[in-house]
Amino acid sequence: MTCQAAQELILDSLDCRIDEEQQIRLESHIAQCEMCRSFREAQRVLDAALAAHCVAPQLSPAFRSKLANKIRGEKRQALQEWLPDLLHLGGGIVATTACFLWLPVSPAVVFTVGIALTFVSYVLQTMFRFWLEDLEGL
Amino acid sequence: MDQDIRELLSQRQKDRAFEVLLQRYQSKVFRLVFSIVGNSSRAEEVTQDSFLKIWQALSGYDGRASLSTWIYTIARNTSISHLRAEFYRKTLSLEEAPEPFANVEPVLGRIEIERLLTSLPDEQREVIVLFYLQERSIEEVAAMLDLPEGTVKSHLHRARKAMATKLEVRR
Repeated sequence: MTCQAAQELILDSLDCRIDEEQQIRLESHIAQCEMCRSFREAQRVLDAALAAHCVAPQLSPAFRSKLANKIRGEKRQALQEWLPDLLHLGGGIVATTACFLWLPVSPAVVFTVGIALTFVSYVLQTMFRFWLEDLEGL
Repeated sequence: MDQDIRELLSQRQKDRAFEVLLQRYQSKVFRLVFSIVGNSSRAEEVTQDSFLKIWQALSGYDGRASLSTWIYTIARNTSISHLRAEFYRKTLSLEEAPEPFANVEPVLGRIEIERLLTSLPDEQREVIVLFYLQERSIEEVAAMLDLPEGTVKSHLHRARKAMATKLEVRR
């Protein structure tokens, strides 16, 4: 066995199990090779130090509640983003229905004008919101 | 694996699916993030941000990648974005230096180990830290970093050799 092969086996033995035959060949090489013996010793010391050093940290008890708060905030924000659109649509429906009930005009005209006005005012409102966002971004 | 979560998602029970997912992955994701950002309080914050992104994207999860790969990818990307933002925001002060992983004094001093770890290339450091955090499971590390097991082993070997050489030079 070459020193390079022996050192690869030493590293393998730290990462996973090596089979019995490989273990025997490794031991017989190490018995005669000072360099590989000190390589194994150095790797064992390093392995023990790393194992003691890299201990998994624990999440704090507040982790779940903080995450839940962030998710709640996200849900609120999503609702706030949709709220003007929802209110606008609701207002359009209410106004069109009121006109349908009270104006002495044919229902087809009321619905056509209602839908058109809702659409136009929605476009204007969206443009206004974009304009405000641009102003905030400046 | 994770079939239960997929079923809950297909039944449009997003909150329930997220609860199961969180229970199953929170520690693993935390360790993965910790191996990248190197500080437990920052890692916790980045873990929260990762799960927030997972929650936002969960309805759109299409099942092309396995759920674990998908989760770990989001966590890795969030950690890397966080590191980049930190890098641009400020240079590391002494107080902000990567914290030691544990309050123990092994054969080698923790400062020495910390120095050796920070001297490694990023991918080798992540692999070796995760290897010990994940109780020496090469399979788990490979899944978390989306790398073949052979690559994980090769990073481990290179990292161990490099650390031993540096240790030798310093003594």
